[in-house]
Amino acid sequence: MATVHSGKAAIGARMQTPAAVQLLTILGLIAVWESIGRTEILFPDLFPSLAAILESLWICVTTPVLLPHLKASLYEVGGALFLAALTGIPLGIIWGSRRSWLEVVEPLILYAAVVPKIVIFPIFILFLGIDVHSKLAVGAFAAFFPISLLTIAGMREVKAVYVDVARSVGASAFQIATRVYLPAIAGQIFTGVRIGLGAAVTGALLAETKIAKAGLGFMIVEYYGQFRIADMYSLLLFIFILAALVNWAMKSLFALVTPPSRTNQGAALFF
Amino acid sequence: MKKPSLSVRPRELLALALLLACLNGTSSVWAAAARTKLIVVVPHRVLFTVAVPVYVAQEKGFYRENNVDVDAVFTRGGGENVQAVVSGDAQIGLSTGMFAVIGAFMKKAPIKIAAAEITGMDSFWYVAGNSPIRRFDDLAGKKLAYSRAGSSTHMAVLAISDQLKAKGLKPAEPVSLGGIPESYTGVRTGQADAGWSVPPFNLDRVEKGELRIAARGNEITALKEITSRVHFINSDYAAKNPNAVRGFFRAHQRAVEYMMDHKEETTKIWIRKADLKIPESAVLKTWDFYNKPAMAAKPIRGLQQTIDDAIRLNFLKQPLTQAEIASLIDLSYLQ
Amino acid sequence: MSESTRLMAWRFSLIFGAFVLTEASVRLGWISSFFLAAPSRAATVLWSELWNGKALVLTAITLYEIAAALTISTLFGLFAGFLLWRYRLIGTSYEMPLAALFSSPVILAYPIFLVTFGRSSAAVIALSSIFGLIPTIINTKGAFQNVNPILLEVGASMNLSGKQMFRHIMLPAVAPTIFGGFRLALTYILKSVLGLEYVAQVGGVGMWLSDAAFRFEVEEVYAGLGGTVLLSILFLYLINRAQTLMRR
Repeated sequence: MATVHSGKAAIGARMQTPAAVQLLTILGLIAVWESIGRTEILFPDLFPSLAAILESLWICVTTPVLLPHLKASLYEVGGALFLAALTGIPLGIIWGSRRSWLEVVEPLILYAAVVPKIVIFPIFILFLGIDVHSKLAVGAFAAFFPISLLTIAGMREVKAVYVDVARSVGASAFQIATRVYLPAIAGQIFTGVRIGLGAAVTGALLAETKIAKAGLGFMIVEYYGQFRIADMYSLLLFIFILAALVNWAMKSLFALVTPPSRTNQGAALFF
Repeated sequence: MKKPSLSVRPRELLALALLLACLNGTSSVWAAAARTKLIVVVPHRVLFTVAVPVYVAQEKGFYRENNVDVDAVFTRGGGENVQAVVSGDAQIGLSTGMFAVIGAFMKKAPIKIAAAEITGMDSFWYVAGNSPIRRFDDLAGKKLAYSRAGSSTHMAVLAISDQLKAKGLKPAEPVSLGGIPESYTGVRTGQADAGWSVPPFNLDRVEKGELRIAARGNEITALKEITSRVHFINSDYAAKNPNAVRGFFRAHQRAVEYMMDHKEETTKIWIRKADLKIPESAVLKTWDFYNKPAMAAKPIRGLQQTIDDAIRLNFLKQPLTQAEIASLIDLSYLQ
Repeated sequence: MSESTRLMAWRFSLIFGAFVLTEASVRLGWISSFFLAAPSRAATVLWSELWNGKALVLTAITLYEIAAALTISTLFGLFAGFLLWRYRLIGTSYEMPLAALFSSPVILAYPIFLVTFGRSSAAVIALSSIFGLIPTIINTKGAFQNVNPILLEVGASMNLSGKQMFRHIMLPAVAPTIFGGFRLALTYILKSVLGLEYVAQVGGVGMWLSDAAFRFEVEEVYAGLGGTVLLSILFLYLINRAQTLMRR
């Protein structure tokens, strides 16, 4: 009896891991998906079987069919994120370094952020042509806003007393920048870059749907246009997995280069 | 005296072969460099009269023969086509609706119509396989799908309604559902009685009996003699490079002729280049919807009717003058 | 001159400067009027559209979609974000998939939403709710996670109950960050509502922009965009007011 109980306890312990929760969630979603498709509650052609989607994904991953499109999109998104970070972080630091500039600029950025970039995509075509560069620029423009806004938010959170203390012990401007500001704003910048990645992906891939000869966004809309729904879903799934991997890599890199932040999971114990 | 020897040593043979290969490669490079590069915007990767001539011309070398190197870039429709050509980054826009081209021209865009793509309507309207609707007149009082306001399918549905009314039947009810996939889903979910499509899409479903064709575009009498889509050029570029533009259209027209005369071969090229997953037997039925006269590059037909419709649908604020029409259309780049 | 007046003056100067530069660029032909409208012309068109009523009706539709998406994403987002923080296992399990979902171009699945929810505002609301939901969840979790532990220890030392701890310590501590998340969620929802209306040609202001772009009425497109920015100013003002009230 004791062995049965300890066995059950072991299984219980194994179930209480993130991997197990994620697996159970995936199984649940698969069950819901398959039941929608088979019971025809909604239009069944839009809910192909998981087997069909996975078969299509396997072809994407194991054959060169996707390679030129992946290359185009990775160039656009990578370039967009790099450009957005290169402009958004320094500008965010400059604007956030003085309260007066912050108060003038931040609302204007928020107002401009709501403009759907796809509507002004023709201007990018005018200046940068119909090749990958216009899509890269749209992605960069889209990613600029969360990166700069969160950098500004990070600068806002730096307490003046920390800077005063550093100055009082004779720290140079460089030391203040690297030992006071940078650790304080790093978390927000990192969050901004992660959110910016989403904006860059959406911006660039949406632009590909308008005018392109290659790219993942181009292929997704192409598959939909031919009503190859399983292929379309497999591409969306592929992008989701890729985004998850990139996010994980970014998080791991950030954890490596910064000390652990002061978070408060323990507050849950208070109620 | 010793007779001169004609034997060549292997090392010398190899050197000669390498030299010939280099010369051949170099001449190819020189030939490619001599060909004019053209960027052509194509509003659909699959449609018969839109993309297939480009694929055929590329495969059969018609562009090369006419000294042009064509890079096809795909867009989602007339608006993006026009923007790409107006920006100067693309030189030629294919298969664009007349409204879009005329509307842009009247807004001082540097473009001209260089050729007709299709005269008449190549779309068809289908119903579910078990629908009681069997023919054109059965569409009276029914919901007919079209893509969006101002599109050629919108014009077609309005014309179908007028044609039914003229017969003393109830007009059809136009329903905007969007593109071909949305239209299909609309029919399957009851949002419309008849959906629209263009070959080769849905021909496999017709073959299987899941769908039935209720009306073809060539049954719409009002649109039979109207050029619905055209090819247009950036007029600044064409003025400076007339030979390149002529070369492109020579190749393009040759491809259209070839397509119509070589069904089976064209089908194979089409399926491969467009990555089609439609069975070959269904794709071959596309030829039932097209004929050479409808695909003739000139003249541009029904222009006055098109202008009147464009004003009605707010693409134009006033009619074009004769001088404007003369400036808009330039068919001199065709043979 | 008071501080707020001075800030307003600076903002107006920047906006005015941008307008003048754009106006000059278009009128002098540096940028083709086929691609960009002169602000004065766009403003004239916006004014006329507001007067003849078409813009107001379309704006009302868009506002309804935004409000619905914001409500859905706020309610579910706050609750989910709290759960992700409260139960560490759930938080750790779902943080990465949520971040990945946010980085994925979910908007490209819009045709599926159109077909599932119908070609109507419902599809726009459903998809836009997702865009607002994820930043709200991530932000709410982060807000609770970053509450200063000293505040909690003070509360514990005063023997506060769970409810009192939440009402008097946690809520005021997380409110600024959560409102920051609202602003971010609103930005995403506004953008996604307009973007979806534009791409799918349904709804309000975005559909107007799409029709105008289809007819190459560039001035109407930018009039619509200008109206969009005015909408966002209104929404952000309301959120800031709500935040100030919350602080009291």
